[in-house]
This record gives sequence, C-alpha cells and structure tokens, in this order.
Amino acid sequence: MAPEPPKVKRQLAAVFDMNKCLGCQTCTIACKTLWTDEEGMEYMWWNIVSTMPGKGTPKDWQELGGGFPNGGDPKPSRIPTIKEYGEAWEFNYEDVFYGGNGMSQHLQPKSGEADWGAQWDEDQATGDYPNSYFFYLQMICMHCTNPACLAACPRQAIYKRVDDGIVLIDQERCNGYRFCMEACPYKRIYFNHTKKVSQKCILCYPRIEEGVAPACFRQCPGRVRFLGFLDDEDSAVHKLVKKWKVALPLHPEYGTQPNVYYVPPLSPPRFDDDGDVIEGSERIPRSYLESLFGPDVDRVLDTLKAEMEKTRNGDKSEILDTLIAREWKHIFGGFTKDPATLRRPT
Amino acid sequence: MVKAKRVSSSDTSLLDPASPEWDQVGAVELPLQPTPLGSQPSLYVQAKWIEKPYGVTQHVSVRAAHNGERLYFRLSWADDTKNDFIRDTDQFADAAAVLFPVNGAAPLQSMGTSEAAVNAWYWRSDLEEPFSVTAQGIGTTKRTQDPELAAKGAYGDGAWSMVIRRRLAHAADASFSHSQGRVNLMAGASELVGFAVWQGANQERGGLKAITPDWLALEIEA
Repeated sequence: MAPEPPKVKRQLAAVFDMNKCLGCQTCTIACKTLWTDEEGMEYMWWNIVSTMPGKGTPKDWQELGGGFPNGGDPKPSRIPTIKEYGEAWEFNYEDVFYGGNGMSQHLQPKSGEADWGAQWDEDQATGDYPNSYFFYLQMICMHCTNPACLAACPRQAIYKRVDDGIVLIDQERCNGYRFCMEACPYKRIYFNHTKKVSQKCILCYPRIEEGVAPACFRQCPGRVRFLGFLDDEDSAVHKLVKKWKVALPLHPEYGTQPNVYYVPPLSPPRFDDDGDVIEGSERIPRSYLESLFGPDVDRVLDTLKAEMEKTRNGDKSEILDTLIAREWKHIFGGFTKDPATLRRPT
Repeated sequence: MVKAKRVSSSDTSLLDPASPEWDQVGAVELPLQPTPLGSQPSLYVQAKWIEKPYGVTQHVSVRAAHNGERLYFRLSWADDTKNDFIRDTDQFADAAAVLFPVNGAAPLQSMGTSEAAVNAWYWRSDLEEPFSVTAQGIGTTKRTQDPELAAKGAYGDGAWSMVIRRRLAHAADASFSHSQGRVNLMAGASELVGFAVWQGANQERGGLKAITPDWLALEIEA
C-alpha cells in the first residue's frame, strides 16, 4: 500500500487551462532565468510545456513507472538519463559563424549529431492533415498530496510544508542518492551535477511567502495559470477544482494525488473527405484525453461545451468568465503582490 | 581481528595505496554481505531492489597500520568497472567506508541508534576529500569535512585500492572523547571496526552496500 500522506494544514494548488496555452514557453524561460541559470543546472527545466501527444520531457516519462499506482505499492522506475531529459548542448558557433566555414559546416551540437533533446517533438502533430492535432501540456512539480519522492527518500530530505503543502528538497540533507528521481512518476526532479544534489520546482516559495504568484504563473501572457488554496472558497482554483469540477489531475492513477489540475483541451471539429466540417466531431480523441486525465474528462468537456453553448445563446457563464480571466488579479487566489517589490534571494 | 601494526613510515608513503611500505603489513580478507532489504528505510527502495542484487562486493582485503601520529586503513576490493566520475544522471561513484561505534553498544547493521552513534570515515571516488560521517540509525547520516581525514584511491587490474587515514588521539589529548560523535583512536587501544563498499556501476548508494556482518576487533599496536 501507499504510505500515509504527510499532514498539512492547507494545500496550495494550481489550475492550468490548456485551452489558453500558446506554447510560447514564457513560463519556461521565466523559471529558467529565475532559478536554474547556474552551473550544474544547465539541462534543467523545472517548468516545461510539452507538445501532446508526444514523448514529453524527459523522453517517454509516462512509460517509466514510479508513484503508487491506484494507491498501491510503490512502482519501481529508473532515473532518466541526461539525453532523455535533453542535454544542454554547446553549439559549434565558432566554426559556422566565425571560422570561415559557414558554407561547409552546419550548426550542430559540439557533441555530434543529435537524435533527441528537450522539446525535440515540439509542435509535431498527430494524425493526417487536415485532421491532425496537437495541444500543449504544462508541467511543473505537482506538489503532490502524497509525494512519491518524499516517501522514497531514505534520509527524509524531502518535506511537505505544513502551511501550504509545497514539496521541497532540503539541499543540506540531500546526499544525491536520487531515489526521488526514480520514484516521481511525473519525472520532474533533476540532478545538479555541480552540487551533487537533487533539485526541482519549488513553486517559487520565496515569492509565495511574500504574496507574489510564482514566476511561471505571473509571466504567462495567456493567463493560463490559476493559483490558490484548495480550501479558499473565493479562489478561482477552488471553484474550478471543487465547485464546478472542470479541472482534473494529470494521471490520477499514479496515486500521488497531484495538486496541479488541468482544464482539458477542447477540439476543433474534423473534416470529411470533401473538406466539409463534420458537425459535433472532435479532432482530439476522447480516449487519448482519458488516458491522461481519467474518465472524468468526458464530463468536463461536455460541461465546457454546454457552457459555451450558453454564452452563444446570450446567457452568462460563470465558469467561462472565470476561465477567461478578464481581470488578472482574479486568478491568483490573493497572491497578487508586485514581484518588483521583492529582492532576489542570494 | 584487524591489527593496526606500528610502522615508522611517512604519511606520504602510507597514504599511497601502491607504496611498498604496505608490504610489511599483513592483510586480512573479510567477507562482506548486502545490508538486509527489510532494513532499507523506504518502501520504494525495497520494491525496486527486491529482485536486483546489491551489495555485490563479496570480500574486502584490509591492512591497517599506524606511525604513532596517524592511523591508516588500506582497503582493496574487486570491481569490474571504475566509476570515479558522475557523468550522467543515472551514474554513481564507487565508495568505501571504515566504521566505528562511538560507544561499544552501537549496532553496526542499523548504523547505530539514537543513543549510540556510529562514526564512519567515508571515501567516494568522485570527491576530492573524504567525509567524517556520524549516524544514529539508518537514514540519519550527517557528513562533515574533517581536516584530519585524508584518503587516496587507485584503480587497476579490476580492483580498487584505497587508503584512508586520520590522526590518532593521545592520552593527554583534551579532545579525546567519544561523546562528540567522532571516534578518537589511540595507540595501544582495543576498539571495534567495520567496513562497507559501494559499487557505483550497480547504482549502489546510501544503504545499498556490502558491509561486514558485524563489528570486528581492532587492535592498535602500542
């Protein structure tokens, strides 16, 4: 059986509205420049936006195991390699741009021809034109209610904060054994090769403590990311997850009870052989979305479609108004302080 | 029993595992065994390693010597692969440790207890300096840098040889105390000692190691 989850007073949670994501990776770069720009962290993407259906980052992470499948025993997994995460390549800029060999050399990693890297399959669609499709999956640490990483660590170096449920790796206690990297079913933990410790998304806890939303939330130009305490009935997160139940955990069968919830993607319709729209059809197979979000995805998509129909008929939809987020301050559950008032921790 | 012979060799020569000075010191072959799976402190580790052998090092050859100033252990063990640099996320470094009970009641297999600590001199092939490690039970190890510790490893012919040493204590030494979580050893003393080896190629780390089944007597020649 899965171990008892650590007890917390409150849980911060996120909702990512996949229908609004542009795949611009502003979130990814916001995180990279704030947290993972030091030596030993080059290949880290604590936040990444993957194209789905796709192999994700690290490559094929959904096939690797980990977690407590259906609440049962821990499932063995393995540590992804740097290549699977995506190597932070050095490129042969000198040769191509400055060495006079621009006509004979092409730009490539110094380590040689590559056949995989982070975002290798970005924007690659599935299916045949004109019915091909893809969508974006936004990944950070899920700050799980029952974190497999925490349970796997033999040193209790990983802890879940009692006041907000943020999961952190104590960098002093971590000995770099990397059992957490194996056990995390979402494969959101990296190994710092300089400091020889494991590292991951910290939900920008120094910002949270000052009332500021995490960088990836705040800088998202599409207002994709909602933040709030799950029990804060005024927060958009509470309404979307608990009240209207239109946001779902990714791979709930992994058994770690993740605290990032997703509004699943709606589809454009399919075209028939004559190029005419097939009314009522959906480009993205429901079965694929069920494989990501479980059987509830049917109910959620049907709810969203019904709400859209309501607005077409001139009625108001509180759900859609919340998701549209005309006023950005309404999506962060009170974490709306200006980040410019903060000092970067040293 | 492990006997630390008094020799008159220099620190430089004794710290070199290849030094001929070690020829004057007899070796003991000690059998090692894997730590019990049931004592691994996380269910994940138990689930992962139930069908995978670990603690695969079967023997360690130990020589011990002191020159009145410092106590030296020379360990050698078979290892098919030299893993002295962590290039990839799934790679681990070869390592070895010499363990002592901080007081005689500390059990070896559980890395001591909350009342009785163990102290280890821990060498890892990818690190510049060895660590002094104290533990009061499994999963409680604390590493500290100890300027009196030094170690040197050499790999060849399918085996590691490694010397690790620390300053001996003297009767007049005010710091002679077992209570600080570090063991201080004196010439002429009878102590207890254990040994552990990790094979990086087999992803051995933490509690996944080969260890002497129990403490061995350590006689430090007067």
